[in-house]
Amino acid sequence: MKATLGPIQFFRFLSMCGLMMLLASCVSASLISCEGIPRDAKNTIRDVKAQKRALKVGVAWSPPWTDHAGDHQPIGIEVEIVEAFAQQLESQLEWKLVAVEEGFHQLKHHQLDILIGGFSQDIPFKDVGWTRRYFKNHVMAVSPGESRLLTELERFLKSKSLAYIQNARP
Amino acid sequence: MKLFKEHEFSPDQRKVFKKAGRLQWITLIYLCTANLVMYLVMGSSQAMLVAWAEDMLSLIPPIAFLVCSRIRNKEANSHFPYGFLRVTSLGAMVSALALLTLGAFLFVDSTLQLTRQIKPTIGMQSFLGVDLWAGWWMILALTWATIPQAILGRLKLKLAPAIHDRILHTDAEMNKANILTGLATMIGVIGIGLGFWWTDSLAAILVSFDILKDGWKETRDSTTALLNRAPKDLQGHYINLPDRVLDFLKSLDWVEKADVRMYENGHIIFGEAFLDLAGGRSVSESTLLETRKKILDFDWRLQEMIITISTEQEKKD
Repeated sequence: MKATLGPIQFFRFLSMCGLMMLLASCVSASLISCEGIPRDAKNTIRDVKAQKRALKVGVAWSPPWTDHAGDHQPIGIEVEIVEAFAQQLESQLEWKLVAVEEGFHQLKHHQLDILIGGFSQDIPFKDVGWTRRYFKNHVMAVSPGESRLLTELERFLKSKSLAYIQNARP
Repeated sequence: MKLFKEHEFSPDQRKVFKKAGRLQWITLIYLCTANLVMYLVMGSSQAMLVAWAEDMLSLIPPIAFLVCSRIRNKEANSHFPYGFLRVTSLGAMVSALALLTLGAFLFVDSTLQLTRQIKPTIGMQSFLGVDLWAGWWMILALTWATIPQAILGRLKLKLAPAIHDRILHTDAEMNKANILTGLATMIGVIGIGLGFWWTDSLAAILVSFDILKDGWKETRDSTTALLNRAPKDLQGHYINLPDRVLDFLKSLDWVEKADVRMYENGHIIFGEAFLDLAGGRSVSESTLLETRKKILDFDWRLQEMIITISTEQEKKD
């Protein structure tokens, strides 16, 4: 049996691993540079950017993050953030005031694209696309399967959301 | 009480054993890093969850090998006159059952995910200041969790036949086959990236089916070994050792009829021979001892051969 495990064999093993990982990294890097990935399962970003339809955002009541003025117009920190996000996408916006449970139901069935309501990451609703925490433990939810929408929203939250939160705090 | 004498590996076999032990320690440490990395990136992908579960289960065989190897080398005593050789079959069965049950659970879970059309959403993830789509992190993690494992499996597979270690052999085969499951999971993740939500569930179903298949095969092999079935080689084929011994005994002039049976006891084979002496002849002690010694030389695995002469009463039956 010639299976020796001396230093030469160990070095060979390590260098083989290194080569494979280098190969994998090259493949990944070339794929990463593809603008297209990730895509939405239902092409949300593509459609709202092309003005084919409006971005449908559900708002559950949770001041100061989400609130509504007398005429049922949504206001609040997260509302401002999503407004700015839609502006960056150059897309139309459609607001819907919902109760929390109804909101998640509509989100799951793609009747809403985004749902906001001052949610924290401890909330137990599953099977929707949760963003990562953008401020302390706050998160937003997107329609399941819409990975491009999620990544665009997360990028926006990471870079721009803090300004809106700081402005709102007295 | 006659205690089974401790089997001694040949010096070559002991070297192989030491190497196998070292490889298993390397496997354990490596798998811990791979599992940690997989856990950090797996997110809400079902395929990643199943792949991580499979890698967690891969921890059991190396641990079983290291623990069982220690136990089976213990000397037989009055409580355990046959020694502790069976512990490897027991260890193999325990790990097989873990594979079987978890594989079945994950298979059902993943199938339900597909039928209920649960769509995974994969967003961004940040590690060490680098912000990327989590799918890329998953692919990197899978590369680390797959390729070294396959290499380790190849190395271990070369060692297993020398010491006929079933735990090592199955462990090595599973490690080697991990390349396919890693690839399936990668395709599943890229599928999500391309907008096909169902590739995740499909990959999860395939990988969990692979776990289930391994678990089933291993359970069957180790359970039958514990039930004293006839000896097999590592590939699962019956060996012709009982027939060779039988032919040898029948060729002896002082033997009229002969019968042989054998079973596996861990990596060792135990055998029994039942002889009818030719025409009222008797046989000397030295002849019996010499015959036994010749039989034991047939195969290094054959470590015990008990020769019995049939009585007059039995012959009449």
